[in-house]
Amino acid sequence: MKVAVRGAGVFARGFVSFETLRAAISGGAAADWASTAKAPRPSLVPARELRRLPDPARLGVEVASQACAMAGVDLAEVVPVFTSTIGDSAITDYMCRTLAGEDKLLSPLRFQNSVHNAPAGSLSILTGNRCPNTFVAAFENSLATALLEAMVLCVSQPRPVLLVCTDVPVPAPLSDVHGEGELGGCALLLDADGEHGSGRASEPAGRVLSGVVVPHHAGATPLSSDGQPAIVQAWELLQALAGWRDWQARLPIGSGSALHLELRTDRAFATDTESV
Amino acid sequence: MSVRSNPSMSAAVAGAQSALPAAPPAAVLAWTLASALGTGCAAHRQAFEQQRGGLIPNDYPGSGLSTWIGRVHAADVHRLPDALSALDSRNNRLADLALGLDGFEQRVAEAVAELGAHRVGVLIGTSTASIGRTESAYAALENGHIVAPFHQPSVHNPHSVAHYTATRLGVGGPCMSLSTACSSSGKVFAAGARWLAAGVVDAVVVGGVDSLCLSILHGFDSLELVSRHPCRPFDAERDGISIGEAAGFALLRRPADAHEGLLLAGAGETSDAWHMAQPHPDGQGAADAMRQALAGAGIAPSDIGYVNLHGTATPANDAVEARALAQVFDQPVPAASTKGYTGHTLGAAGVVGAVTVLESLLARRAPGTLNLTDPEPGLAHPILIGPTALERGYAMSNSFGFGGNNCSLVFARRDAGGAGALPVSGSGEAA
Repeated sequence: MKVAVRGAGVFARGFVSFETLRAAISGGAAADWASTAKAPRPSLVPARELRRLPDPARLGVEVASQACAMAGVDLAEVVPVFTSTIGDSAITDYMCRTLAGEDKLLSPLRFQNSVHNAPAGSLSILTGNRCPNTFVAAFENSLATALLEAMVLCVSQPRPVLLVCTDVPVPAPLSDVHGEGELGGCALLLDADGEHGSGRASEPAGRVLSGVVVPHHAGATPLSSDGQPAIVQAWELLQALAGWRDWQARLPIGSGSALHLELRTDRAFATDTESV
Repeated sequence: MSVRSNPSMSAAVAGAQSALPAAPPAAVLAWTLASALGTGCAAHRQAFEQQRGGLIPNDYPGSGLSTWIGRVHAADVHRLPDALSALDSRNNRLADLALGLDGFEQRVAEAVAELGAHRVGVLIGTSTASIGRTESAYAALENGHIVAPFHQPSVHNPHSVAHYTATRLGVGGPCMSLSTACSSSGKVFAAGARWLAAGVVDAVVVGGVDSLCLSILHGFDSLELVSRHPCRPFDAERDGISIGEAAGFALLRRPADAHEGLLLAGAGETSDAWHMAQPHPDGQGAADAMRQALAGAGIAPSDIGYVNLHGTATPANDAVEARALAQVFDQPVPAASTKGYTGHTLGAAGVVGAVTVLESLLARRAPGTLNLTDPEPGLAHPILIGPTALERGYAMSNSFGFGGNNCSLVFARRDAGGAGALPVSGSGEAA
């Protein structure tokens, strides 16, 4: 499967946008970790809605908006695929803590946001997106598995596919099991590359990602971030996209299989702002 | 890949505004189910025929909530194989129990032997995953920390049951969990069919597993959606859901690679873009999902012999679903909700509906709606109360979830005629 990467969004690891990451890679600026310490306040969310929106939804809406703006596509017209390493662990902690108590009285708002597709649902409601959306979970393989699902959707139907990955810090005592995690999100706007998929006319792209399912064996080259949250695993790919670098990796997606990914870039396609 | 559709038939169901090309067809070779009605498909057929429900007064430990539940008692005493005991949770026990029924694991073993473990995938819908186990870990904290038996990273996350299923079956291909609340295990059929058509697997185990836990009992209670009585779908007096648990699985292959079994002929998926916990009042999203599934199968509404409704027995769901049904079907169609039998099994509701429809197509008998005595006035189409004959070759199953997430599936007998009965060429090469 081969797809064009037409847009990207980032709010993670000290970078509040794909543009700040790109500028840092070309100009050598350092990450500003404080800028991504707290969840973003996406501009398309009305202020009165913002406080009702959990951090994964804020992250998701922010990076989704960035990726669609870069690609010049309408947020209401894309097929969203959300993923996360372990979901909204703040709500998991709240639910389990409350249910371990005597009265077991849960907040209805927090309960309805406890479904793993809540960030996807929020995006759909906020933007009027009536396309089918999905939430992919695969624990330590979440990034690769969601990429696989997004690529399959890309070659199965005509609309662009929006991959959104969000992770949040893991509170104690869940951190006893999962480590402390970190807050961050990223999005990729994927589109058929014109060779595959529905046969719809598609413009050539400067960033093309191909993925093949291969048998996984001991010699497969995992990322140095293997076992880390999905947003950390995505970092190598995001840096390659931002720096117009070719890249490849083989990420496990099952006990005997891996997704072999290859990114081919051509800086000649850079827009005026990107070619600086 | 190619998605067959008959243009004249598709025109009859046109109007799906948000329609995408529906998922490609897939052969359904084997299936299994465990719910409050019993373990295995035969137990379900018998209960539906005898109109005997599985709901009991809530006895889930630690809850105390005054409601009725659909509990799988066999899961209380079921134990995982010793080698997998580190993955223990009620949800995984329920999965393990169901995998051992109806000869299902043998059929998967045959597929693995024929195709190679890495060419067989696992795709499971779940909403609870093993959250009940995380609740237990919190109830047993020592000095604020999670204690040894609960140090289970592969259990305390949304992927737990898909990971368990793949490990238990020795399946090595792509392993994914899909979690879109109560539509989860309907959507896995569509996603599995796309995996097959795209060539990323040659066979895929799809399914759904959700188990009783405090989170869902008290969560739905906080939304005032839980009935104090056994739930009464489409009844004028209906006042909420009965929560149940279930595990069900099916084995899918490309139609061209399998010359037996039934067919997933079409699937439709949409979003309401309306509210996190309530359906859109005009039923547009639900209606579009049904139209898209019909279009994918290349059939007209009149080809459908039975609809297994989502029918949760909340005032809102049933009113909206009845409205959507009337928008899609201009003539009455035999339709029923089986939630009065099993309870609403949430992330497993899609596969419970799917297996119910598959069994109904085979037996040419479909279940009615338990606890429906005084139908909601003004319904455009009547809702079935007792079991009925199913002679037509196509039947539909609906599942809708929080977030406004809708899924409708159309299954077919191979002798049904029309596009759904024809083997469809699939790309056999790796993607």
